[in-house]
Order: sequence, then structure tokens, then C-alpha cells
Amino acid sequence: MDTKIEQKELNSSLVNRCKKGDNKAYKELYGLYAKAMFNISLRIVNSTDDANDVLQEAFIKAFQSIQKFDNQAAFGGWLKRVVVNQSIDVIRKKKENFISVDQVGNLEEDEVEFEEIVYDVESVRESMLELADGYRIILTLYLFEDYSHKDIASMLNISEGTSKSQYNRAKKKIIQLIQQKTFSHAK
Amino acid sequence: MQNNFETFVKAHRTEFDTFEPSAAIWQSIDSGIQAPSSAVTASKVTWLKSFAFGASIVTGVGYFVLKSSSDTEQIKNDSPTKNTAHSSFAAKAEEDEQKSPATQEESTFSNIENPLSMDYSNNSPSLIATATSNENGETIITVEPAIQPDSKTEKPIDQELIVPLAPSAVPAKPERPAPPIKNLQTIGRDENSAVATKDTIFMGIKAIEINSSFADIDIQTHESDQTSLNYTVDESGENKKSKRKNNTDDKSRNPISYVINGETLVITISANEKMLGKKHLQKLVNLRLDVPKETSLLINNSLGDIAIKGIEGKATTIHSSLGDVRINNVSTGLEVTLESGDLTIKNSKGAINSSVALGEITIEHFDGNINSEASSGDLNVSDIEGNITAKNSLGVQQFNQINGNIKSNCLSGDVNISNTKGNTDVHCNLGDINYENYKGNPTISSNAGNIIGKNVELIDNITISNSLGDISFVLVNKMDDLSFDLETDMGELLIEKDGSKIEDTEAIKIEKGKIKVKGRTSSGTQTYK
Repeated sequence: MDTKIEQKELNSSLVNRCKKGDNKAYKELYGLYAKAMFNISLRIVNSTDDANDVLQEAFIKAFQSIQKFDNQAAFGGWLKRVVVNQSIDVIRKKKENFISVDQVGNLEEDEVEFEEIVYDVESVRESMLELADGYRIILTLYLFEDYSHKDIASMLNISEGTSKSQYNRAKKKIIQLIQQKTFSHAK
Repeated sequence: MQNNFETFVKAHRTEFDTFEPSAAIWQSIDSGIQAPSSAVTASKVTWLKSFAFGASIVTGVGYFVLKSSSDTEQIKNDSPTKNTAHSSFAAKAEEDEQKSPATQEESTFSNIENPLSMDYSNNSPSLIATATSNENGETIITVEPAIQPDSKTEKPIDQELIVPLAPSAVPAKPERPAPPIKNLQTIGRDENSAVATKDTIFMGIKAIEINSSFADIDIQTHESDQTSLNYTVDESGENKKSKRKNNTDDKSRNPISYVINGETLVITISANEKMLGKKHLQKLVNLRLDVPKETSLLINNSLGDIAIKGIEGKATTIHSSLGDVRINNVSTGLEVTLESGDLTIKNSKGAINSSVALGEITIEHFDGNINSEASSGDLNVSDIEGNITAKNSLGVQQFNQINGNIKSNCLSGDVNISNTKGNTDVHCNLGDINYENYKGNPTISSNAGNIIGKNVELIDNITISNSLGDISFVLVNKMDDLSFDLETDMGELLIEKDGSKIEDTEAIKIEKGKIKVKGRTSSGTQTYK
């Protein structure tokens, strides 16, 4: 709790200094958030180059708007939203495999025994790369970034129900992929 | 309801963020952003300054009306006791002086009903300030006790210099008490006066208060009892083709005003209103003061570096929002508060009380106690004769060649102590704690991180605790001089010293020597050699 408060105070101090034109503060803020934001974007856009572009644009956009930003302590949340929106825009522009509910087959019959799987970070990460964009985005936003289905629905311009069903299917799909990897490795 | 997959991701969430963005991104961002200039801040204070300027004119005109009906040609200062409230520094320096409630009430601006009704003729002056010009054309301001009413200090001075400053001419900072106006008699200037020329010399100044918006401040000492003020102004902006340096004799651009309050010189440095109306115009004053060694200082600076050398006054207090502070060869009580910037103190003695929100603190070759706090930034302390209390939220603490006790608290960052004699009490929330070539009585605790000691000589009992991380010490002390009380919840315990080797995975207790080593780890190995 203390760490959170101090983080908020640090954010607040940095944002205030940015507003006063302190170039050092911009760099400090960038250093504080760049890596986390880059990884968020990378999970969504699935391309290092695109994630770098998103990061650059998001920070420039955030810094140019920082004078209007009042709630300094929530800068991280605000920046994350900018990064997510920019990342979704990148996917939209590419119009690649933005999966719809109709495109998803019935996964119930393929349901796996979840309890038998021993997860590891690398296999989860690799499997995410194989997911269709729509699945990966919803999985990222809900599971990794803690956005609610209501927020996700708003971001992606879909219904809340669609967000929920897409998430469940994405989850099943990725577990299938992980199981396949685990099974093939065991062989 | 979460299944195993969701639980796994939540538990290992941070491990997924391992990729680094391209190093070139920051450079692109840096060139892409237009950092807001001082115009933003300035615009917020423009109306205040306009009001202040208006008040100055009204008060000044009123004063001249009074002045024209008076034969008084000398500048009379009220008693020092009353004048202390004019300057927060003076108030601090003379806080031991008793003030009656009535006096204090008089010294607040809000109690002045009509500044124009000031009575200048009935004051009983204890100090007299006079202004003269020497053969080089320098302005010399002299402050002397008014023992002889008919002394030579009564000689006429240029009337333009006798412009009483309105309260707002002293920095209008809401957090500081508004200066009084009643009975205020000072030497100073308004926008139309011709003071603070390139070389202005003051006599009899014991303390200096500087309230500055944008200035690099350089204060050095000399053997003379004079205080000399010199400055230049740098201006740059997109409406100018190139940066230029102004002649300080250009009155319309002169951003410095001053007040002599008793033996305190109060200098105010602020941006020019005309300049504030133009976007992206930046203005920086380079102020140079050469002062007697015994001068006490209070500096409030919003932007700019501060350098101080050779001061031996009672107190030196610095508050800076943005800029580095360098202090060298001083002997004084130092209090430094920095919002952003590096603090460097070298070759000095006295006491230090420093607080830096963002920036590095470096203290070298210092005799005296140090109390340091930093929100984000490293602390480097070396060659110290005195006790140190240090607190960092984020940053490394480095102590080298300390002859004194250290109390250290670090939220996130390593603590390194080397070549040190004295007791230490170190707590680190997240980060390693390292001791090397150390003699003393340490108390060490860490929540996460390793605790390592090399060539450590214990003179008394030691307590070390670590929640998550190893403890490893190479002790100079003989095995026969030591007793051990070691416990770990998860890890190994090992004592390998003077030919004996004792191992356990839960606890070791050896009652032998006078010095007791108490070690606790929740998850981590303890090794003592």
C-alpha cells in the first residue's frame, strides 16, 4: 500500500514537473512506463516494429496532452489506455483476422482436461502468438490488463456479451494450444 | 471463477513483461515533444505580478507625495525587531528574539489599513542605509547603526533610489507570510528606477535572502566586508533569431529588485512582464554575489543552478524547484530542499539536512551530521566524520569512508557500506545490502534482496533478518569470540570458520563468545565464514 502511495506521489511529482517544462521529467516518466507499455502493445499487435511505433506515438500523444491532464496520480492508467487504443487502431488498419463470433467453431467438444496441464510462461506466450487477433486482444485486455468486459466492449465497439463469449473461447483455444505443445514435447 | 490457466497468468503476470522497446524510441519522442516553456507557469503569475506592479506604483506615488513634504534625506530603518518580519530569513535568524503579540500583529500586511498613510518622520532609526557612487560609477549601499543622528550618513542621496517597495514587490509566494508595509523603509527600485546596476556594492550586510524565478546563482566569498552584486541576463526564444546576452544597464529588462531590511539584503529576481507575453521566450538571470564569509543565506529559486562556495555563516537554507545545487568549502548549517536536481556538497563542515525529490545527492569530505531524504535518486556519501540518517524511496545508497553511525532506510535500491567504522541500522525493502571493510555494530533487515558482508569486524551483537534472500558474511572475528543464533524457514544454514563447519536446514545455536550473531531468514541461505 505504501509503495502504491509513493508511486502515485512520484507520478504526481513527475507529471507536475512535465507541466512546468522539465525535460528531465519527461524522460523519467518514459523510463518508468516504457517497458510495461511496450509489452502491452506487443501482446496486442504481435509485432515488435508495430509495438515500437505504438509506444512512440502514445508517448508523444500523452506528453503533448499532459497540460490538460489533471489526475496526475493516474497517469499510468491513462497512458495504458492510450497505448491500448493505439494498438487496437494498428490491428484495425491491418484488418487481419479480427475474429468475429461467427467465425469461431464449437470448441466445447474439444474441451481439454485443464487440471492436467502444467503451465509455464514461455508456452503461454508462444501460444498467444498463435491466437487470432481478436482472441489475443480480448485475452490481453481482460486477463493481462484487468479491463472489464464493459470497457473492452467499449474499446472494440462490440457488445459486452460478445466480449465475454470471445474471451471464453480465446481461453479455451489457448489452453488447447498449450496442451498440444505440452503433448508434442512429451512425445 | 478462475481456472488454473487464469490463476497461473495472474500469479506470473510480471514475468510476461520481458521485452524491451527499441532504444531509439526515446530519442524520437524527445525530438517529437515540445516541452512547455516557462510561459505556461508565467501566465499563471502574470495577473499577480500585474497587481503587484500596480500596487508598487500606487505606493510609490504615495510615498513621493509624502517625501516631497519631508526634509528627511536619509533612509531610516525601523528597529530590527520589527523589521525581522519583513524577511522570512530574518525572522528565522532572529527567532530567539521576543516579539509582543502587538508587534507581530503590526507586521502582517493584512493589518495595514492604508499604506499611503505611513509616517516616515517619527521612526526611531536603529540602522541607516545610504547609497553613494564611487569613482568607478559603482553604486555603494551602506547600512550602519544610527548612533549619531547628525553624522555624515545623513548626506543626500539620489531620490530615485529611495523608492519604498510595495508588499508585492517582495516575492508574492502564498506559502510565505506577506511582508509588512507599515514603517517599511528600504532602498530598492521600481520598474522605472535605475538601481541594481552592473556592479552594486552593499556595506554592512549580514544575511541575504534571494527569491528567484529563473536564475543561475553563484555566491562566493571574499575577504572584504562588502557584498557585491553583479548579474547578466540571458534571453532566448523562438521570436528571436538567436540567443543574446543583455546589457544589465538596460533598465526595461532589469529583472532584479532588492530591499535592505535591517542587516538583511533581500533580492528578488523575477521575469519581465513584457517578456511573459511572448510564447516560448526563456529568460535566465546569472546572478553573482561576492559576500563576506560570515553571511547567512536563504535562497528560494524556481529554476536554475545554485553554486555556493566558502560560506561560514550561521545558516544556509536553499529551496529549489528545478536545478542543480553545488556547495563547496562551506562551514554552516545547511538545509537544502530540491524538487528536481542534483545536490553536491564537498569539502565542508557543519550539518546537513537535505531533501531531494528527484535527483542525486553527493556528499564528500564532510565533518558533521547528515540527514538526507530522497524520493528518487542515488545517495553517494564518502569521507564523512559524523552520523548519517538516510532515507531513499528509489535509488542506491552508497556510503564510503564513514566514521560515524549510519541509519539507512531504503524502499527500493541497494545499500552499500564500505571502509566504515560505526554502528549501522540498515533496512532495505527491496534491494541488496553490502558491507565491505566494516567495523561496528550492525542491525540489518531486508524484505527482499541479499545481505552480504566482506571483511566485517563485529564489536557487539549483530542482528540480521531477511525475508527473501541470502545472508552471507565473512567475519574478521575469531570463532571463539562469537555465538550464533540462526534460523531459517526455507534454506540452509552454514558456519564455516576457523576449521569448524556446522550445517543445518532449520536452526543453529552456538553459545561461545561474547558477540552474538542472530540471523533470521524466511527463504534464503545463511553463510558465515
